[in-house]
Amino acid sequence: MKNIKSFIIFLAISILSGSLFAQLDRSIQPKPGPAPEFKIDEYQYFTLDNGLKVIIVENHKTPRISYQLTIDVDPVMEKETTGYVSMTGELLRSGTTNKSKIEIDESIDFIGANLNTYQNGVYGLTLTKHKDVFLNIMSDVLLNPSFPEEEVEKSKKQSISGLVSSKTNPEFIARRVGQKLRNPNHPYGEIATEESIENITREHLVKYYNTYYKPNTSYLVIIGDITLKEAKKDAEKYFGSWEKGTVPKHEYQFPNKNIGTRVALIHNEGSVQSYINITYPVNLKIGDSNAIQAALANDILGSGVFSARLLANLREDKGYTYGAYSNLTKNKLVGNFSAYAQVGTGVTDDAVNQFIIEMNRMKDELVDDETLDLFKTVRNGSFARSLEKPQTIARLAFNTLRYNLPVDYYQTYLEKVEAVTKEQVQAVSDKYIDPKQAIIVVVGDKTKLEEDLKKYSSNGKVELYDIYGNPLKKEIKKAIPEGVTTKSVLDNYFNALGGIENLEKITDFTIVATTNMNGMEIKQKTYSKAPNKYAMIMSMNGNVMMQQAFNGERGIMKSFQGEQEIVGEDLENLKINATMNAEMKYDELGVKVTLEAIEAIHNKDTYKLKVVKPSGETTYEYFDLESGLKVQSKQIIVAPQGEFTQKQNYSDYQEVDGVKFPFTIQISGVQNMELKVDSVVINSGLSDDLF
Amino acid sequence: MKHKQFITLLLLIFSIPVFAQDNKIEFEEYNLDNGLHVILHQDNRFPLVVVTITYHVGSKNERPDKTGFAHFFEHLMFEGSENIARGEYSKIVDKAGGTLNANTTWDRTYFYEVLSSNQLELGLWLEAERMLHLNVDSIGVVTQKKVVTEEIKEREENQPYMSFQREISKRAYKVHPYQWTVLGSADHIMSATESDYKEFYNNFYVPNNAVLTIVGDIDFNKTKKLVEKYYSDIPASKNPIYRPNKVEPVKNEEIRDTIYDNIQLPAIFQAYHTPKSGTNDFYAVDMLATLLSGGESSRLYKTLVDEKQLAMQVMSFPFPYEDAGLAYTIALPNIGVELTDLEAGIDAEIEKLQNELISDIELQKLKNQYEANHVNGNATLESRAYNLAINYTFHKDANLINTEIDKFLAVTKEDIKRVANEYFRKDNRVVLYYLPKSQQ
Repeated sequence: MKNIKSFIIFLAISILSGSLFAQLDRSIQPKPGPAPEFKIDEYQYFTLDNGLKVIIVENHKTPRISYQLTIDVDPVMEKETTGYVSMTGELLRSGTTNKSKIEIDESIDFIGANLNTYQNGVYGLTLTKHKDVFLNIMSDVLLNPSFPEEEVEKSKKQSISGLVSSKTNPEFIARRVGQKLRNPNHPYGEIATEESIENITREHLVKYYNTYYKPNTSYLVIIGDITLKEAKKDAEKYFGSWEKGTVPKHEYQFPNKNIGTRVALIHNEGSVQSYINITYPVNLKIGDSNAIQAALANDILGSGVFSARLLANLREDKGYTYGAYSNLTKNKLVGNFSAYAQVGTGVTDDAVNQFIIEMNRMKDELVDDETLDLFKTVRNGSFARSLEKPQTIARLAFNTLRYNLPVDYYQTYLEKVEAVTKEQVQAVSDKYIDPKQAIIVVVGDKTKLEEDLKKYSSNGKVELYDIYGNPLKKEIKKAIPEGVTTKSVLDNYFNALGGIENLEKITDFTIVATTNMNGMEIKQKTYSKAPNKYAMIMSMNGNVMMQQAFNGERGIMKSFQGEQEIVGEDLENLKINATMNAEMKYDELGVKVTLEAIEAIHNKDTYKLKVVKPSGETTYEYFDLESGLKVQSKQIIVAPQGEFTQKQNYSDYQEVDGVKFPFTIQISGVQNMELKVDSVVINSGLSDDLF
Repeated sequence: MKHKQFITLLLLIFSIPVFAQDNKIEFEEYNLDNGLHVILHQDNRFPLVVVTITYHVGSKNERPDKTGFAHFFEHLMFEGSENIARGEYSKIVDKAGGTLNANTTWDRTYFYEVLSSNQLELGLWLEAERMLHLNVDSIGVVTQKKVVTEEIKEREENQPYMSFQREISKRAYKVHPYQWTVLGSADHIMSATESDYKEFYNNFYVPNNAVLTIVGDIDFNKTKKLVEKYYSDIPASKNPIYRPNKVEPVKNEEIRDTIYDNIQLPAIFQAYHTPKSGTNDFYAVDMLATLLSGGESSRLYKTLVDEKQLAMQVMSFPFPYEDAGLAYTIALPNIGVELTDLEAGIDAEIEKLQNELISDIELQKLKNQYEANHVNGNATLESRAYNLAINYTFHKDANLINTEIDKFLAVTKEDIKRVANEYFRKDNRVVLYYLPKSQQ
């Protein structure tokens, strides 16, 4: 007994003295207290009569509410009009049947809220007290968008400018080219270009909206300072009248696996760094039985913690880069692997090498227990921390519903991570991390990289691409077949139109066409009379906006600004343009025509003619190889702001009295519009007074 | 009945000028004997804790021949300490299931850990380790020199337009150290020596130049004891901390220049000299910038992007400098638009503000926007930890986290017109045209 008592006293003294006198031993890393419990907050879920699925996460910490609406539909192939699906989303908030864009902007900003609309979705954040004002606008934007013509044109102009501003951004280029090359013939591989944006019309947006924006394929996620009861009432009030409908489904073939490594190089002149993006498609979906194992494998390889192998190797060991990472992205249709870094030009070769070494190591070696434990802790810690944000709770709820996951999928997430073995990590790595099926996309200085990168390509070739992922033509143009001449192309054209005989029968014609500008309908009437009289009248609601007339000698232009005589080069050009069947009289008009090449327009081969008027004005005319018809004329305009291309596309040729006329004319470039021909009348005996 | 009505009316009157403080952020603050300032904010609704240390040192404390040092030093702070080997610092946080990072500006360097609340002591130990006895070996130095050089390339050189800060700063400032950027010069960093780091560390990484904030699921008493345990015996520096007192002279001549960059779409960068942060004029300038480009109904956006379609994108914002800084206006034209037309459009909007008072509705819109920003800006533990730390570091007033909104709400229409005239003068700005290299 005695002994024990003195022992206790001794212990008490030593504790006391320790806290009072001893130096703090800083070499001892503090031990954690008992681990707290991280709970996943509850979410609520209900469906409106129109099929809209609504998820609510109540959280009253901050007096605000966010609303996120997602249209869950299959992607579509956008082809030569790529960009319209995303533009449809972006323009939702650019005008409704009730409000103009500026009214929407003013009312959103006035309450200090955000409202973003984007591809297949709407997101907004508002203070609780402004909720009803906000919902009024959000519901209007979603249910009644009007896609005003002028907003479509504005958005096209901005998108094209945006693309041009990113043309020298290596990350932007490497990502998009990677996306395109790994998803051939799949909507995921379609990337917008200046040309595809130019081809978009309002009708594309309206049609997409009317077909795909339906409540029964949509989710509304409400997060924040609101009760279930109120949220239900609001959802019914603001989204209940949205009409359900049948939404088309689309299926696509999974992209073929690459056999062997490919190297795709995009030249960036004088670049001091190279952007490397090693990528390929993978078949991995949220909720797959090996999804968590795969996520852990990728964490070890390329997550943002310094112990991850890519960072440890390329940054902390070699100092090649500020950051090197990899992603293994899950997706319902086509997932992808992507490993990337921006590295000094001089070390690009070895950086690619290190990427491949680290990728192979994941497959070839078992990770050690310490590494696996570390990354399990990192993943679980990150999962647990993320639960602070109600957005996380909402995302988990959304995934559970959208991907039909077991109800306890996320409740048991931490345990699932804990249960992963190193053998499983190796097995999923073997399946998903494979440099042999990769496309190594590099954006950098070609002159310094091309030779060095050849060794990584299975066929020893470096494929060269432009910034939009189009293969660079090796300057070998398609040969013009023997016997084809300028004359034969033009003769062919005349035949395709209906034959010289029919063409020469025309003494006059009148074309009435319609176009839309800034939401307004504009009528264009063109009169033409042999040998070279021409007049054009543009009007809106019956009011003449502009007219032009040429009587064979004098040309006049009338507009709001008054009357103006056309003189000089413009007059000379007009004389030629006004000539009936001018193409048949090029020689006598002094127009020089040369057959330049075979070039593809909208993926179809055409003969390209260079047409130079005596004034020096140059246009290029393209004639379809198959039909013989003219499909495009192109002019380069040199202005103080730079060079611009103005194009006219001709399509929908229809026969009138034995002669074909294009019934759709798309004008793009500095000005964009589409002319639809309403009628063509031939030989009505036009009076000379018209001109 | 009548009485009640009176009170309601009274409430209404009082609630107009001052933001209703339903979400006041409560905190405690105190100094240790060594000068370390400690701020504690408790929120037990989720078992996380955020530990941050702000050192009041940024690129403005650098010598003109050693630029980029503060940022480079931020990298070195992850290299290890007397008790933590190279490469282990962040691994310890990883193993605890936490996260950490840091960032540097012209005026301060900010370090943080986010941990589950049972790991609070670990966070305090870690930050104390590098405050007391950082240890950087030569391999670490060589590697980080390379990493920072690549960082400069990645962020500035190999990105279209991104040299703008460097180009504006060196023209805007002749006296003040804001003339160089935070990333500084790769040459200076490559040539830095061991004694340079030691000096920098001893001068600036000291408790009397630091603010420690601890935010989240904590117990005040226990936390204070832990702070005492790890920080009380870290010695304060004996030398006064170098704070540049250089004041940039008032400008009276516009500076214009052209930069030829690897771009295809040109751009305009304008920068006006603005007052010191925290002054009444600064709040008015900030609001003016929001008036110009905050939201799609803002003046520049509405006029230039929507109506005239001169711009693809336009934004106006003051940089968060501590000393008298710069308010930027950046505009990217739509393709084919002349920069001179775009600039005339921007200038016309500024002139309007100089000549006409804004409307009551516009002022109310601005106030509503700031009220929403105030709520959104303090929604997470991390943002609260940051705001408390920065407000104390720059203004010695952590409570600005609650009261800064009132300073914004106190700005009048007349204030906006006045600062438009006082600061947004053409002879008080730098204008750069960014043009494609091909046009050189």
